Amino acid sequence: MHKSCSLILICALFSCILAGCWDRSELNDLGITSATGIDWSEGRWIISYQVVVPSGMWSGTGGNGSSSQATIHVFSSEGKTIREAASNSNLEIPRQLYFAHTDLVVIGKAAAEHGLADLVETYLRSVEARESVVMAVTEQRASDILKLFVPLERIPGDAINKIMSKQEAISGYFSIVRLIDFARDLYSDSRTTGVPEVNLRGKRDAEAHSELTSQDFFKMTFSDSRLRLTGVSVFKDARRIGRLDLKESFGVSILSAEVKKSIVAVPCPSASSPNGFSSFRVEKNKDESDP
Amino acid sequence: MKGHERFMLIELISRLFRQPKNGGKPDMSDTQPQEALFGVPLRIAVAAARTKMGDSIDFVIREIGRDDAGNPLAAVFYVDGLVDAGKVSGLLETLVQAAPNAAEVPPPPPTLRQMLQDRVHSGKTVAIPTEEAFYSAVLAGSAVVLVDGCREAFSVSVEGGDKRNVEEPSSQTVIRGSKEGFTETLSTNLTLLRRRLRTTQLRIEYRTIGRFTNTQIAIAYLEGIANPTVLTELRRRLDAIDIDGVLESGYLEEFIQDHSFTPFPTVLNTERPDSIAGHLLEGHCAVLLDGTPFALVLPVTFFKFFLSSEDYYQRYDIVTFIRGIRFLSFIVSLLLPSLYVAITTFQQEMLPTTLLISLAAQREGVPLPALLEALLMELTFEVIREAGVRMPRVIGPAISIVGALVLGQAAVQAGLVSGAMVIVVSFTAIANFVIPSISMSAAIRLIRFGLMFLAGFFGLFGILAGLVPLLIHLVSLTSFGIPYFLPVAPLSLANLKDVFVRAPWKAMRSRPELISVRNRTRQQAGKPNRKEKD
Repeated sequence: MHKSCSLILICALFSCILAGCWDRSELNDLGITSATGIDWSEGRWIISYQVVVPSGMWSGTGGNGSSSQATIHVFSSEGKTIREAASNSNLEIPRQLYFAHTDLVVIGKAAAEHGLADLVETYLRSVEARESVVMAVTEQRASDILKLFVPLERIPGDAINKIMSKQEAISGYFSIVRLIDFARDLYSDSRTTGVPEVNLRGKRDAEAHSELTSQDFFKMTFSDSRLRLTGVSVFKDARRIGRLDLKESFGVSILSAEVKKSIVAVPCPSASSPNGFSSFRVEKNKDESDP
Repeated sequence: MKGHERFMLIELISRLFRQPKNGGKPDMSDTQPQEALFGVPLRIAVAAARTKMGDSIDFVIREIGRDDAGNPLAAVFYVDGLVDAGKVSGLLETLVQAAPNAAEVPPPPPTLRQMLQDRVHSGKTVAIPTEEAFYSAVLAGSAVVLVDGCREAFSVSVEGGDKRNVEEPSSQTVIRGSKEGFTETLSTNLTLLRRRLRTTQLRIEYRTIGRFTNTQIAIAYLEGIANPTVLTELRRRLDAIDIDGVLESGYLEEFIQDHSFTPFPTVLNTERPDSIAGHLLEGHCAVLLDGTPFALVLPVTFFKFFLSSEDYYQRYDIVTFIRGIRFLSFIVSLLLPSLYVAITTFQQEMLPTTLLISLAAQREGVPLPALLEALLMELTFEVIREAGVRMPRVIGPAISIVGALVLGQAAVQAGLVSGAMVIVVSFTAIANFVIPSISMSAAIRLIRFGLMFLAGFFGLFGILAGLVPLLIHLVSLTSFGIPYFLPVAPLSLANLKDVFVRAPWKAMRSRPELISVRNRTRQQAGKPNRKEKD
């Protein structure tokens, strides 16, 4: 009896250590973060969180998000280091931020040009943040991009992630770069890598901005401005040193055999239409390189 | 648990429940003077019997014939209500006709017995040599004939009285299969069993247990197929029972089971004669008793509790699918609430993003932590369930309205409970009803609460820390010496044919290992059941 008692005690003890009662958190105490944004401004890091508002997604009695609440809210805070900025966010966010479901980290142009070594380090050291988060660079401020809705989807962070993975699978213009890939590439021989850019296209004035940040956006059937993947930012030693446009980055993708499937338009003049084009479907992409 | 510690524990428990020194035995020798029934003038014997029965109004003594002094020559003793009135009047008529009038000498006992056997067409006539046998025969529903001056009485079986008809079993219904269920009468039940097993090898042994109830117990088995070690052990355990009364097979179950400190049943109960017959054919033994439609089957393994007798009547492929559903329901019923609690409070990473957000939205504004919410809802369901069993049938619809509307929908709308939790609890409850055995589903219900606590405090690791000792416990159980987890641990490939899948009947050529040891052949090999067509 002593034996079985002690066995049970040991089991209970181990489960204490393994699970940790301190990790316990109710779902309604979590601030589920769908995307993170990093900006650099006047020597300070600005970190922005796109936090999902669950009751905006699903109203209490069921029924799919018919309430007038926005589905996300963006919090921004700044500090001398990324960690400090993150820590300062506790001054204004009521819930415990939860990063396990964060799909996207958006990097502002200024931050990208300042260098991302700190960001990579923060991600690699932090227990909560996932290295598998997908990266995107923007020419605007990251915090502004996080505020914009994407048509059809209710969580913009998730939507941008979906756009990226869908185009990678179907069109192959850019390949997705996860933070861990980014870090790995930085320690490769070339010490360079490319990260897809996401930018607001179309009208970019204040009116368009307020249109895209309002929940009323879902009531419209058309909008002049929307988020779009526009190219690739090229990084060397974790610093943005330039960009490739769509055509160039597609070329890079094809050369590095990262295209799984795509459509290529080629000139195909004929008698009836001398400037005609035809499309090829790319089914296979192989390369051989000799360094 | 070591031997001496177990002994100390038992000692402690028995000290707690220590009985008065005489063991509560009905001790009548002190209060009443012992008066003989046999070998005394009948007048005195009648008076003695009347005193012994305490002038009970249902104890009837009919005196027949008078001698010169007006003393009765013979008397019939029976208990009103236990006997069939028509049979008794037939017996009395016969006796009166045969009764010697004053002039004649009463016939000697062997003649009387022969006479009763010849003339009374109501079953067996047995000689009663002792006083104890006299009373037990009277109380068992026989009419006992005592003749003046005889050293022996005769019981004539005239059992009758009110009993329930054979009806469809209420606890184990099937779509296809026999609709007969056991009743409270042992003889009827044995008839139902005998009708299904018309063989000389079906053996039925009688026992009487219970000092006050004198309940008749029947052990049924197939000679040459049942495991003799199990039978010997069963007889030994039944004979060791000393109790004032046995009112239901549950009493016996607790006395004869191998392990008391377990929520899991190690003896199967059923009210279906076809189920008992099927088990006997596999080599199990059955215990039936008077006063309950529930018979016991032993030894049984854990997996037996998930099988239904209908499994053998339906097509094997369909049954295999249904068994899959049953084992899935078992897992759901045991684990769903604890998994929900563990994942939503500890391992949220395991949920897909949309599901997580949906669950989070439902929990928005719910005041209680998930563990308390789950416990509260589970307890509420247990209360509704218990109320549903106990309440009068007429109030039935009221409770379902209260249960479904007030506790389900209204609680969600009021924001006290999240909708997901209601779904989890209802699905768990429904999954629990899929398990064919009530005693097994009760065990699962009990363990579920323990696992919910572990999940609420330690997350998924807590569930594992609960499940591993549970499995260790299950594997350590035995039922009459047969391992409880039999076809899985120890592994028995032959028995696996009829656990998670049900092999086609043609493929089940042998009886299960260990359950049946002597004659394991069900079908002769090389003898096709039907000729293949060209």
